[in-house]
Amino acid sequence: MISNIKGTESTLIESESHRKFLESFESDLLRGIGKLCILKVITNHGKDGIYGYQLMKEVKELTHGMLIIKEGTLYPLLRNLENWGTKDYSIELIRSEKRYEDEERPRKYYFITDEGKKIVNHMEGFFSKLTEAISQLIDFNVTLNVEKYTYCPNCTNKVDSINDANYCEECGYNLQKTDGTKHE
Amino acid sequence: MVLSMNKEVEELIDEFILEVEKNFPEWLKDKKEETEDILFELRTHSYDSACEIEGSDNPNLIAVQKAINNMGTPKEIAKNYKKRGTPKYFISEELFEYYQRVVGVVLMLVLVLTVVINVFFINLGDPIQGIISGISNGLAMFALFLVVITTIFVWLSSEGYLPEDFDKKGSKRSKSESAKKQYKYYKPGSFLFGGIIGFIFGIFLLSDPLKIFNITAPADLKLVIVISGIITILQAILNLLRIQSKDPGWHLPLNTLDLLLRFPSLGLTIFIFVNRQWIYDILPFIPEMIIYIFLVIAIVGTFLDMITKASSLIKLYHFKEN
Repeated sequence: MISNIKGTESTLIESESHRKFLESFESDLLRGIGKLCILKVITNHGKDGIYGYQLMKEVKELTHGMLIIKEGTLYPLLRNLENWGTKDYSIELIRSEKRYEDEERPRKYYFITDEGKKIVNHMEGFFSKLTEAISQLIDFNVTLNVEKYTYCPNCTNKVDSINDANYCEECGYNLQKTDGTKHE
Repeated sequence: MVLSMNKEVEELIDEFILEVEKNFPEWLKDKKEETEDILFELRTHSYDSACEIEGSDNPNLIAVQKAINNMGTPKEIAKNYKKRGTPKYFISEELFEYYQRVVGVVLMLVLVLTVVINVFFINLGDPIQGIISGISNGLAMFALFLVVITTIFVWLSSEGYLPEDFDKKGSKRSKSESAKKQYKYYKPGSFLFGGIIGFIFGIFLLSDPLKIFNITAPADLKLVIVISGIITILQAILNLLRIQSKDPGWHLPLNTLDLLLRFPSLGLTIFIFVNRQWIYDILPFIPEMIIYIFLVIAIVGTFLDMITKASSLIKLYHFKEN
């Protein structure tokens, strides 16, 4: 599982029931966000790819220690992302290949697929709009980079504004109709 | 393998990887390529982790042991690879369809049996009571069977089994001679079927079937039926245990026990044959010659089955030794 470092025995929450509830809440929340972070880190490495141990470290560093992937769960998670789905449908978000950096140290590198990139865009868009939407509820500020990205009002897919797309590639919505995405 | 790793470090990692592999479910071990891929990942990860702990490209044993400990126990690691199938209640969505089919078949069998009992063996003195009793017995039996079948399918789901793992075509993956030999004694589909049917039939035998059919029988015959029920359930358990592992060392004792259970089965069949008058008395509508022939066939069949089991056991023993 992906775990928040604060969810370990070092927590100072005295009440066991409070602790259990919060651990369950953190676990549920981190499960989804963790996938997004992993996919994003893999996307960031583009054609170079990234190997498992490096991925684990980067996720921890980039999230300032909030997201720690438990080592035993990392590879099943990556395997799942390589071939996610059921017998009726499946999707390959990432792909892998063995690479020998030198003759002695073989490693398996992970790369984002084209389909994976689209999914990541969508996940980022959804997460961005979600945090923007709940920001007032929980009293924090979120400023989306609307200069750089357009968020489809229909499906929250994140579209690069630079490319000046007319339609959302996920749902086909006419993006020219949108007046920007800043939540007021 | 990595050449710069010293031999002891390599052995420690190999030992760890082997333990993880032992804990994999059988359906995963069947996929050689995938298993090797997973173990490759774990091996390189443990080495990378050890290098970071040591702070050099040549970690010592202590660093490797720490790295391995950080990854979790082999059982915990293997457990993560069992998470397969789309969760649906406690049985995966993929297995749920088969679960429904098995429950449906069992329900039909119980229905047919209930109707047969009520029609042919009804207590004419109090037919209403007889029907009510027959229906409630049928419901109780179905409830018991449902619990057994559900438990089996929940266990299969927790181990990550999917329907294709019981498909004969699916299991013929490797063309190697040893893989073909493995296939002969490891038949998960047959084991599952045998286990479920064995449980159902065994429970039926233990539930005093003669009483259900309103047949009065000597106490000795009832005892024989109870013992047969116990033996049938034990054989069902052995069948289900066989699914757990493809290791010949696992199957040998199970097959030996199964063979040993055939001896009391043969003994009971011979005992009934010697006391075949009981059967003549409770089934007067069947000609005695038919019952006699049937009992002889049962004895010969049980004996031949024992010979077959013994032969398979010897072949398995040789396979394991080689």
